[in-house]
Amino acid sequence: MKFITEKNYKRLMIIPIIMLVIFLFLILVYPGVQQGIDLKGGNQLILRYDEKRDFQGLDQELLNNFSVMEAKVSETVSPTEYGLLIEYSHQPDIEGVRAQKESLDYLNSNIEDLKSQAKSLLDPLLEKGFLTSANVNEIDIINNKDDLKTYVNESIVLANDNFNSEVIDFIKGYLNLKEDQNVRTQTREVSATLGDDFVKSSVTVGLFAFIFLVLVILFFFKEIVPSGLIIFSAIFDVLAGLAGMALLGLSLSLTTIPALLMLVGYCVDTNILLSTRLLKQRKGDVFSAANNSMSTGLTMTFTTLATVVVMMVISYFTQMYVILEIATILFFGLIGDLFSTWCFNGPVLIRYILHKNK
Amino acid sequence: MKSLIKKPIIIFWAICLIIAIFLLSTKGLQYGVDFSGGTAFSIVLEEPVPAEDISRVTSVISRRLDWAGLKDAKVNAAGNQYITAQLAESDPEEISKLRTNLLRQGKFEAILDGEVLFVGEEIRSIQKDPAKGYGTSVVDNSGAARWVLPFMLSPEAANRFAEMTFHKCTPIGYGTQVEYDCEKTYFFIDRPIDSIIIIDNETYFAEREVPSAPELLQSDYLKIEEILDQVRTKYYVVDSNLTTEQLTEITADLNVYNKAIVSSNVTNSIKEQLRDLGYKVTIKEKSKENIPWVWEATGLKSVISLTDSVTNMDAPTLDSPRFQRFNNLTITGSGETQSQAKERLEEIVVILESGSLPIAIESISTETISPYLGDSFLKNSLLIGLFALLTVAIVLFFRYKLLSLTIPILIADLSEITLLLAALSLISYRLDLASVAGVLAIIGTAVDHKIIITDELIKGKKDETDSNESPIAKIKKAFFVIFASAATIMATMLPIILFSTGLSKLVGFAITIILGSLVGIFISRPAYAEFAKYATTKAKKKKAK
Repeated sequence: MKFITEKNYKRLMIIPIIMLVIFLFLILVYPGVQQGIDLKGGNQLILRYDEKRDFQGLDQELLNNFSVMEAKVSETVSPTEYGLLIEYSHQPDIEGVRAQKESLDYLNSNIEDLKSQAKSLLDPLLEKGFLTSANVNEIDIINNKDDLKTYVNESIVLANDNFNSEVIDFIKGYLNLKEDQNVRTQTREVSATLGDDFVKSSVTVGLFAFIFLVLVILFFFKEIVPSGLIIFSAIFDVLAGLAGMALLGLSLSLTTIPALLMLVGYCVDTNILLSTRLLKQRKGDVFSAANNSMSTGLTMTFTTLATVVVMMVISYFTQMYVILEIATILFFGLIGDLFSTWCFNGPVLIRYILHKNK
Repeated sequence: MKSLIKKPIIIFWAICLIIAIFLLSTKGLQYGVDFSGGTAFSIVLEEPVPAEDISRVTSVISRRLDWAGLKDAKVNAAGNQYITAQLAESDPEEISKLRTNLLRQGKFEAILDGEVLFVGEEIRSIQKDPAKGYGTSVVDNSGAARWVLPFMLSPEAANRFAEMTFHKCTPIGYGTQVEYDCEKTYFFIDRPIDSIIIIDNETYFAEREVPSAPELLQSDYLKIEEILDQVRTKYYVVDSNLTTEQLTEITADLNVYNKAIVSSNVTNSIKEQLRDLGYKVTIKEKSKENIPWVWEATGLKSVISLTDSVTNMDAPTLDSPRFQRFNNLTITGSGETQSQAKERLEEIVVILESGSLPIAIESISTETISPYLGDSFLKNSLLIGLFALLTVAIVLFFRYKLLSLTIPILIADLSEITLLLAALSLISYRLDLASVAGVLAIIGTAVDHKIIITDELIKGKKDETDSNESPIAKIKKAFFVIFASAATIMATMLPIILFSTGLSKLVGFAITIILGSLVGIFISRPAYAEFAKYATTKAKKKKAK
């Protein structure tokens, strides 16, 4: 097989460069990669049921009826069941109260003042019907600050739970699922604080993963150009994964972030193989070494691609989203890797070796 | 074949595999809520907790979630600001209750004669220092043991303690050996002082006398009234209907109380009546076999007798110069064995500490999966694994057209998954969907690396330049690639373990990938290399003949 030849190897490099531009456009401009509820905070509800239901307009209804900022509804179908994946943001009134609860001055106010402050703090929740007047009247029997603090915290949690069960009730009503005993549910709630912390630690993790990657590659290859090429390929693959996410509307989450990081190690083995073979090639020409590596590398990538496709197909039909998302990202990364390895890393490294041997 | 079996790496591989299979068949795998169904809580604390307090935080949280230990709560600290808890509970109403329980500080009170002796906040410290007497010791040949728990009260509480316990022992017996019979103190968590208690006849008669230490085989008995009197609330023993007197009294009670704790056998009509009157009715069921209902309903956790050493028996009056106030007190008790004594001691520590978390909870996030769903996730994961391996086999067979290479790759892959699962079982990791994705991803790299080894070995056939290289040199070359790529994978996964505070899902994925890579590069891939070397040289020899 002769894919990389003396004639074409410089031209090959153009393909990944064009792809890079497309990836960046998809990721940064349109449609863009979104942050999931893991990072933004919010609620997720997965419903599975046996008969098809009409869900058109549900997202708009959620926005109108619950004054949430965002609501997203998507359907999933499998041979055995129907399902809806619903994501909606926190209720703004409840979040507002949550943010304001810090303003209660427990140290300097007396208990009666605090009680009236707490009452007016919780008032919006009563108005919106997330708390009942019985809930709020419980405040009257409180006689110390600790209990009051606990009471305020509990009330917010209660309001939030009431909000969520109202939403779920509404959705079930909308889909005519109220009587259906066979509905399977999966719920998830990420608090805004936890989301913020996830973002922070994801940035740290990403940064260190990059530093460790550079150190490991430099340790094994010791030469700047070949190491730089492998690192470039790794980044290219991650961008391919991100572009895939943008295309399919997958959002950054606790599932997709590790998958993106893993992509680095997952795809980089063909690059390492290629670079090792080319650099250790003493006799013979670099082109045949590159093409020989390619036959091994393609076997590797296609075998992995085949397993990843199996993961995607089965997890789609069985609605195991965690696995589906990871497999999808690996799929795009592997496709990207075909180009970054054989059209970029290979040709550039050949140029470098030819140049060095002159 | 014989020469192959004698190779150290093959022997090592076989031993590891046997251990792994043994481990998986005895200890087995543990499943997280993704597979077993249930709820995972992610709790963020307001600020990081000092390392020495983190175990206290987890024990308080696990008590708040599951005091009776019925729901198999697993609480772990992730870093010093995050706590994750998994619980076999997926009913939304229960989850909502648990969230409130998590926020609520259990209020510890030590009660004597229905009056508060001291409360949780007044305990300055619990001295877990053997030098100060903390711990257990065997007292006689029968193995019976004694436990001692020293703790320190705040000055005001110490004063109150000294005054309230003054002369609360009565001497019994005559002669030189004076013994004392002392009054009991009652340890409560969340004593329901704002509730009336409604007990049905049946429960009342069953518990007229209850053991004062239900966890011990031998125990004194207490009258149910003695316990109820400590709560200082009103209680009613009811038949299937309220009597007229009861109804008038209960109606009048509304001026003081607004909640009612009701035993589960109380009739619905009474429950309705209470609700109509305006009571918030809580139905308490007896949840644990050996704990009396009245203990659970009142929040009684332990009954501890005073000892004559703290009751100032030798001081005639409170003003006497011999009257002492003790800041440092000890609680002692016994157990039939030393381990039982230790258990008891730890339980009392938890009760005393349950009052407070050192740092308040900032937020709670939850993820709930119904058990039915979890079960199907598990089956489908297995399905994906099987199909993935099958696909690998088909692709490889088309590529090499040699069963003698394809089958060993599959066997090596299977062994790699087995070893990886055994490693996860060894560290008691609770398998979740993310770690299953990790296992599946490892199949991919494992196959890749075996392709590198195989191609390096058979390359000589086509490529003249390399044909003179010995198989050992070829394998060395292949392993350079394998080590470099495994090192890269681990390098990108390691920061997740090091820096992702509380991101339990990420961590599970990363741990799986790293363990899988390690098992792969040190056990199964070298073993496969040995096998492939044998298979390819044999194939070459055949050709040469």
